[in-house]
Amino acid sequence: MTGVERTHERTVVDRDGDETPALEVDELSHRYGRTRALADVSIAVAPGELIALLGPSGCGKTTLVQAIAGHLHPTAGQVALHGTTVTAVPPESRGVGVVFQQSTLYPHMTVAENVAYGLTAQGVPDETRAARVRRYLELVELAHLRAASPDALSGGQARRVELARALAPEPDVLVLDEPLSALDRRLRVRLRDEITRIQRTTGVTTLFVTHDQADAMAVADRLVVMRDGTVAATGTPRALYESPPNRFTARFLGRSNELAGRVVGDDVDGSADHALGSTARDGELDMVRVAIGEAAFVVPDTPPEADQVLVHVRPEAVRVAAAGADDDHGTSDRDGSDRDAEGGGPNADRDTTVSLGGTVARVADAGSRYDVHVSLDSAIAIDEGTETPRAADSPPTVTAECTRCRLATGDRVQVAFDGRDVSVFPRPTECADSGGAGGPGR
Amino acid sequence: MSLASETIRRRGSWAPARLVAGLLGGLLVAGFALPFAAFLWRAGSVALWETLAEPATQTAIRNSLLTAPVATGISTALGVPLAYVLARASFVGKRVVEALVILPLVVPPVVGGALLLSVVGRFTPIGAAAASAGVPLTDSLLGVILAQTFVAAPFVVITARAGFTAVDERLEQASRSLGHGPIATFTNVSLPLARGAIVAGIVLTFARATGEFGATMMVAYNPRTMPTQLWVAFISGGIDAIVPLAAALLAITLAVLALVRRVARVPTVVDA
Repeated sequence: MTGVERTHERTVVDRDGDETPALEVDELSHRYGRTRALADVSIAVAPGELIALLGPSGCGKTTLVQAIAGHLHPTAGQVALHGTTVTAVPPESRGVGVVFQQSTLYPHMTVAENVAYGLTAQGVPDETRAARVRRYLELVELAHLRAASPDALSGGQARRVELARALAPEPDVLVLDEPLSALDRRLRVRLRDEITRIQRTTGVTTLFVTHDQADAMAVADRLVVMRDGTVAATGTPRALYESPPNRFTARFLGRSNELAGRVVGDDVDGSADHALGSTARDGELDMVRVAIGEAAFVVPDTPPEADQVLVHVRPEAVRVAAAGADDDHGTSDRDGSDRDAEGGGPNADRDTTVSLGGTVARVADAGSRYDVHVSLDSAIAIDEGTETPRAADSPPTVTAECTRCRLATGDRVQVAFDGRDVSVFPRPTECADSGGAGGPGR
Repeated sequence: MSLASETIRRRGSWAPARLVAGLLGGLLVAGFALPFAAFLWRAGSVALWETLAEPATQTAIRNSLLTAPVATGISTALGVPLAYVLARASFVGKRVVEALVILPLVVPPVVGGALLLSVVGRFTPIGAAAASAGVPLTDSLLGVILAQTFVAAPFVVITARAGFTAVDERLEQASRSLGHGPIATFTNVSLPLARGAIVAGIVLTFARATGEFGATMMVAYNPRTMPTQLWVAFISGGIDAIVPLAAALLAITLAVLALVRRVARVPTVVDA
């Protein structure tokens, strides 16, 4: 480990099989009595990578952390560090640093003694030890508090000391188990930037466990989304946010509108292909024609197995305009001209975009933007990302974000979104997907 | 303004309840204080130092000061690890172990002594073997220690266990992940953090061992400890005869309590 700043490139480097993962979890399962906590979880973390393990409370994150750190012996499966299986190795011999959600600083030791604690186990000579303690306290910018008692630290300071203590023995892997959950919002944002900086500086392979999608997306090179003891999705934050592989990921990674639709064809005429631009033209992309109510449009997505589908679209991808106004002008805060420039012509453009009529139900001022909630005339919105199921007879609504619109409750509007901003999932049968497990508003 | 009047109104409504609680509690406190005061007043009127200088009394004090610390030491050395296991581990038969630990507390000391006698009595295999080897387990200082340990050890086990339970297990996990093995983790983290409770338990155990009478009387009537000597003196000389020794017993216990509080900085035995 050096003090040299690592380049940012590693976040986009394609990690092929040549590199032995710093941490590899292989088909890990664990049961507490009859309760299943983990089921066949497999994760590989490349050296120097920062992975966020994201999932709602009770999805098995903490069990996984305990198994990786060696505080729990899994029912089945293996944990390997740099290619060596350590499933049966006790925690003190693993080289996995852990920071827990609650402070575990030792109240009977000073800050410096806490940071030195991991070094005394390694038998580091006194002088080296003192230098190392100083270095890591400087890294977290708390060198001036070395003689303080942990009781005298603020919440954020305690977190940073704990980070320094976990890093000082220079572990192979650092596991941060909900390190920010106990902090208030402003401090959390500051500290997660700090964690990113420290991770870049030290280059330590890091597993950042959190239930907060904003924290996860802000820090991680790669996300692992967990649900009910299994891995629901793996990928870069951007990829998972923009094209979630399943409904759970779509809902968990941010606000999401869900509209009931149906597949009306998986073959598309050339005009839509043309309109979707170069990505579609290579012929490898799947196309599916989806109808929402009366309106149909083309979605560049793998056709789902079911005909009854859910169309998922982020609020920021939804354009809203006063009825009668041209879609690309007026109140829309999205610039539609680039679409036209791609040369699809008006007909093709209409075919890749769906436009639905509705009435503004509510406009919420979120400061940097407005959230416009629109009650649709047709179509069926399943929900807009809230956890409470909507009453069957209440009008379907869609939430759109806009920055400059002047709309008021009761205005007639058109909402529109593009097929490329949409993900299509099979519609769950009643109750089958009741465990929506945590909307984004948590 | 309205807030202030609200506070006043509340205080007013609470006053009768507090008065009743205060009266009831006051009765109990008086019940503690009155015998204490009466006893000290009596102590002023008897030949305190002459009695304490008598050989029988001196022997009893010496025996007590010899046996009680040993019994406390044994209880601590064996009881603290047991307390840790009970606080952290779950195993088959844990309930049985817990019940056994509490048993000496709920069994009357005299019965406890009888239980002990049935194992180490002179005519039992163990007792006979020990006696023939020259270390009699009854009517010896060893017997006294045995009786005191039996009766007093649960105090340190129960108190220390509560202390260990109060230490967040994650602090120990963090220590393990920082490279320290289970034993180093116990001595570096668990023990210092549970220190207050352990010290409190030791004090309680010592106080109990010093004052132990029932079981000691059964197992080792001789050699006399302070409590057994107290009994003998009371039978022959009545209340005035035992005031000096009782005062000495009280003084020793209070002195140890004060010393431990000072050295170990445990705020109060009860709180810790």
